[in-house]
Amino acid sequence: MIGFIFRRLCATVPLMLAVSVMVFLLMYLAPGDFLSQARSSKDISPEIVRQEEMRLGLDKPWYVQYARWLNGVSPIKTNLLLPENDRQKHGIVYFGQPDFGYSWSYKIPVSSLIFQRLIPTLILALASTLLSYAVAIPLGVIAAVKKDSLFDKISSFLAYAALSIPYFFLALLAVLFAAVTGVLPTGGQTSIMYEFMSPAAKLGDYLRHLILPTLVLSVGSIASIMRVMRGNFLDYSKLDFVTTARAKGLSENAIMFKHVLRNALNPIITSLGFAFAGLLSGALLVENVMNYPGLGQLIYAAIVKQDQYVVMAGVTMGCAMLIAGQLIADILLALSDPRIRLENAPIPWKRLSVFVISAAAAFALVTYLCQASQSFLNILVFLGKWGGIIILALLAVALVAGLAWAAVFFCKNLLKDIIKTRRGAAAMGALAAMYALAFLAPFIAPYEPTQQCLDKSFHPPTALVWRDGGICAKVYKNVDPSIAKYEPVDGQYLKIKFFCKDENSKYKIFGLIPFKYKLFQCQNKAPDSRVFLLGSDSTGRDVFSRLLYGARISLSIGFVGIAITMTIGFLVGGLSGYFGGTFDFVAMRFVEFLMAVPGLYLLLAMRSALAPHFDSSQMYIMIIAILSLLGWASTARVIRGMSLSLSNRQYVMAAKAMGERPLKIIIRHFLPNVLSYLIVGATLSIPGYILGEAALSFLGLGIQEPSASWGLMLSQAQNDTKVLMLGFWWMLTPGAAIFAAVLAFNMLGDVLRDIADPQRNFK
Amino acid sequence: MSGVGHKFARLARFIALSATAFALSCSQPPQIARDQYPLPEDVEISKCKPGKYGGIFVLAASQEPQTFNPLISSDAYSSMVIDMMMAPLVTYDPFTQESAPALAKSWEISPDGKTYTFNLRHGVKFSDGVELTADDVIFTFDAIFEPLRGPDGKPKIDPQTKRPLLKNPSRYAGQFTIGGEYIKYRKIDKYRVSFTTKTVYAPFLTDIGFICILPKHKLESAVKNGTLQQQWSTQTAIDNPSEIAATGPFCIFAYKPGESLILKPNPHYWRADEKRQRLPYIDFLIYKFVADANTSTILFATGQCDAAAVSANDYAWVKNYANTYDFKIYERGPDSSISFIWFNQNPNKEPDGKPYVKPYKLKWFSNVKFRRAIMQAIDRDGLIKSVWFSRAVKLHSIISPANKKWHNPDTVKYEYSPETSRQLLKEEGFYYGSDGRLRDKLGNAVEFDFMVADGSQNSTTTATTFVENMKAIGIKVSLKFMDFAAIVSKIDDTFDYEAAMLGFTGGGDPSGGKAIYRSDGFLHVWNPRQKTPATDWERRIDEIYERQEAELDTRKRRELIFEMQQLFSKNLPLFYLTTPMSYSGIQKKWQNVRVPPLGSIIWNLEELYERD
Repeated sequence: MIGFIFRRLCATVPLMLAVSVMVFLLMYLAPGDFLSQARSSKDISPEIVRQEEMRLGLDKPWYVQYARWLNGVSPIKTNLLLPENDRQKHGIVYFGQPDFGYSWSYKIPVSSLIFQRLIPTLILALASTLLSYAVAIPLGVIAAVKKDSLFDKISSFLAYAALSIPYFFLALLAVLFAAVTGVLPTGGQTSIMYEFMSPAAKLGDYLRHLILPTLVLSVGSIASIMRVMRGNFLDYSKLDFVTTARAKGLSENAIMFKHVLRNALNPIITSLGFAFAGLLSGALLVENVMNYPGLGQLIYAAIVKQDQYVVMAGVTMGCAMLIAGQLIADILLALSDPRIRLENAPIPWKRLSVFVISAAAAFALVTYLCQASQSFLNILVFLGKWGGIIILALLAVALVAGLAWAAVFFCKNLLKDIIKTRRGAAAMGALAAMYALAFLAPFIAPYEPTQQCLDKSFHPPTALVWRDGGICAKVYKNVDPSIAKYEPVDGQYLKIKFFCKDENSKYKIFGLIPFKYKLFQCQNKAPDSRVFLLGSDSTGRDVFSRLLYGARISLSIGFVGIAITMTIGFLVGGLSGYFGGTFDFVAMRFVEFLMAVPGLYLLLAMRSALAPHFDSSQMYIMIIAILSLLGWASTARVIRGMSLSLSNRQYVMAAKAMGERPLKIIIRHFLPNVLSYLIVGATLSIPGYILGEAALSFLGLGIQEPSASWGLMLSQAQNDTKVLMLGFWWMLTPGAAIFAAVLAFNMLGDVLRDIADPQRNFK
Repeated sequence: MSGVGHKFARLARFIALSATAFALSCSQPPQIARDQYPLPEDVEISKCKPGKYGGIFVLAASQEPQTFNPLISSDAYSSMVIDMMMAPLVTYDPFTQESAPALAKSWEISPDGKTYTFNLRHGVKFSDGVELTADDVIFTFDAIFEPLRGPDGKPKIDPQTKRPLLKNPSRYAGQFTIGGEYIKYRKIDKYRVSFTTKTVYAPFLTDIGFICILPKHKLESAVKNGTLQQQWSTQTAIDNPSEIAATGPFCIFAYKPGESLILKPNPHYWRADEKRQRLPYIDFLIYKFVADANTSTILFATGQCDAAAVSANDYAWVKNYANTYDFKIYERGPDSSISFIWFNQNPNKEPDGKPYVKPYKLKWFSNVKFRRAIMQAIDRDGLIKSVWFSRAVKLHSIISPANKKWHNPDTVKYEYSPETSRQLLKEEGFYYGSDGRLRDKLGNAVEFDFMVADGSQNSTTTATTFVENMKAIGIKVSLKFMDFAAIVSKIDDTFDYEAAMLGFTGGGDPSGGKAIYRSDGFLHVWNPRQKTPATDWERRIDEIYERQEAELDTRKRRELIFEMQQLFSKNLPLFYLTTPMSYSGIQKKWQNVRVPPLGSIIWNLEELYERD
């Protein structure tokens, strides 16, 4: 065990180095630098900017800057990388305190800056992790034990609901709730008078401020842990050893808590490690909305301002936290499941060193060429861009085809079963309707998503009435333009015509057959005679039309992402669990590398590095790809945990002994066993992508104007406080749409899980 | 339903009240000792109505100060706080829009207009009790101009500009380089200093007002060992706030990063009321840090902080809470910021010979009639009506109407008229193809990329409206959202873009706009850093700029600035957009509130006191 821990700790050094190089490079590639703000101020002269550049070392190539940083951080330093004036003070090689550098914007050492913010973040993360595990595990167990009871139904419905709300939106609602009622503080860590309080009151005040952020952060994870817990528990409670125990006449309590629970906890324990890692990026959005002065807020601001050393220190910290978390997870797993062996084959130094040396050499060559000639960099960017897009497109097509095959398979075998259950039918129906609406958006939507009507901003939804043998829309007048208050005008109506021809329409079904009809439009073609089924936004665009067009983007995201994530995750996780040894070692280090970079920050850095080279639409594909390529890592780890314990099962050993090929074993024997996890995982992930898109839009990284997506529309409603305060409720309909879609996916996933369960035949 | 809601609100309010009562029962702010020290000999007696001591003033700030060092602060939030603590020689009276005495009780200008002599107040002390003298003034300017020396003791020279590098680089060295030379300054006696400029420089008094005088006794060693940049950092404010010796009305009581900054009255402040009570009246000034401007508006609207600037966007709902939470909102007229769209007219080429802007597009962009056609196709009235609920005005000049002293109200005005713009385009040889797209003489479809900084809701709506407006006259515009840093590097460094949108904060003396107005300026965005002016009107503007700097007669100076604005509006390098109205709110319990035409509503915070 100690040897294992030691080896793992040694392995973290190259990992951290790789992460730090990558982040540093991305920061360097991002256009502009810390001095961009200064450069654009009209009263700071260019000479000052240049002098600052030299002082901060920004005039040096990135590898020199990186080497300086590394020299500062490392306890063994060389004086060759110090500024001229300090060179004499030290020998060529000397020992020194690790120094994370100075924060350029705060002008204080990064270490003290990080320390200022670390404690609040740790407290918040600890509180919410504790709360979610403490609540979710018992709830999950009870729901599983009392499967199909009222409790199970209510709790799973609440879990659906909790998972279906974008949590930055929840945070915003919490802030609003606090602001309006005054029951709890709106944000921050302490109240305004904190400084003047007695110690007891200070503690009380601190705890009071912790309540809302903890709740907001926990809601989502409670729901997801609970669902996974319930799923696992059900899986294990159907296994042979339970039947045996029951046959032996063991009490039900002993079976459930001694046998089933311990097994079912395994994946949950693995996820505890990740919860630790999520401390950093997970809390970012909540910290931002709720104004909680944590690390996330600090690092986000540092990335935006390109305060290099703060970003480096923050990301390295996140990395270290994650590695510690994973180590803890592995040790816990070994302690709780005696079947898992931690001692693997010795490290294959020879192979590893060849791998590392060749990778380093290739990297150095590319870097050198990039430095030597600008055009090489351009070629590289061009190749990377188009090559990446083509490969991704092919990959996506292949995976979508695979998914389609799976879908056909499911339809043939499972559709009937799904429709049989009421929940399944409802979910399927809702999803089918949503996808149909999205597909037919240009036909159903009365207006183009970008078409403005500046006279009618924040127009409320138009009431429809039956009149003169047809449906008519009421006409509204803006009675108080200073607060956009509209009232219907008596006796004026707009006639609605159905299936009308629209010559301007460029819609082609499947991009081939021109189709020049609209489902409905105003008979009166005057530009300001408009029917707003779901109201209009700040420039008078039709929310209904935008919602339909937005659905095309928001609903398609999940599939692409999930297809990539699950396939790669399953293959890598399964193989590394099966083989162990070298493959496991290399694969898991790679997984750790991917997961060691806090995803949101990587995304931010990647985006600002790549943004100038890509159009908004291409950028969007890029972001999906980055998200899903990062996302497979966690699936891979969980699958590995499962297949580690599976590979010691008798039937797997038997298959091995019979000389079956590994891939076949994995697909034949592992897949059915982990299928329920994959399905639960996939259904939990598709909504994750929909919500992810919303979260990205919240940070300004998602789909961009003038296109529409649900997340973008919601973030507009949320950035403009008057929308909520003046009661323009129709602007929140994208939130309802997200909620509905996510809810439907979650319900469908649950039903599927019950059906696809391999053990169901034994019932 | 509403009954239930009402009951709930009442219950919530009850809980809130009892919670506040609980919080108050155990929170007793410490007593502030008053009249500890005698007033200085040259105390300034304020004309405000004498009030009484006490009270806490709470402000919400959406960003934290990054330093408390007045010499290096470059962001508005640090400056806002520093201004509460540090005083300059002369200050700016927002009512008269003229310079007013501060640390200097008076000043004389030599007949040739080049030498300014300041008489310091006698007996003024820093908050640590050490007297402020001419030595501190000299020390401050020494610190600004101190050259950077190499190991051999010789000043280092910037290899590109051939100018000496500074030990403490700040914006001020550039600001006080007048006629190509640093200003000269000397101590006459303990209470008098004089400054000499090489040429006559009209905005000198305004500019000297930006410099806060630093305490020599605290910072001399830091200047010697080259650590001035790191002094008075946020860490100092956390660990050792009394190190930051103030001359303004307040000094630091406590700083909690990410939480709040608490200021207390400076016990040595040099202003008092007619009853000879030392100002300020309030016991504490608390800056509460919040996530964003929205949160700070919510805090103000729900009575949790005392004053706030309310944006035109939020005014519509914030005013509904005025009676409930007993505050008043003042309408302040148009905002002083300007925003505009422009075309890249940079005629130069990249090192590899590729022009920054495609030649046929450059031809459009540099055609003033084409630009006029674009300008007249922008529906600013529509924007004002829809996005701003009519709480904004169209901008017609490079200086906002808020800046009443310098704004020229009679520049050329371009009204929305897509017909006129189509007509103009046709006159210039553009025509419409069968697809409705606009094409130039050579048949190139008119289209361009338009870059906009992401993150701001208002700039997004403006940008999408612009795209739709252009579509209406047959021009295809592709929106490119970028982060601010990327935009800056494009307009200042790589120049590879076609059109962009940006805003600048405004107000104050037009001499602050040098980098924008002059053809060699780096923020002369459409064609920056010109070696010689590209057009006659740009040459004329350079000339005007030089002349107004040397013009001491304000009336004549204004005429020149008016002409400059007229030239900008005629030649349309920038398409001015809209500027929103600005509003400021303050709790009614505060007395002595005087709302100036421009600037912060709490500019005289030291004079405010709480009603009984």
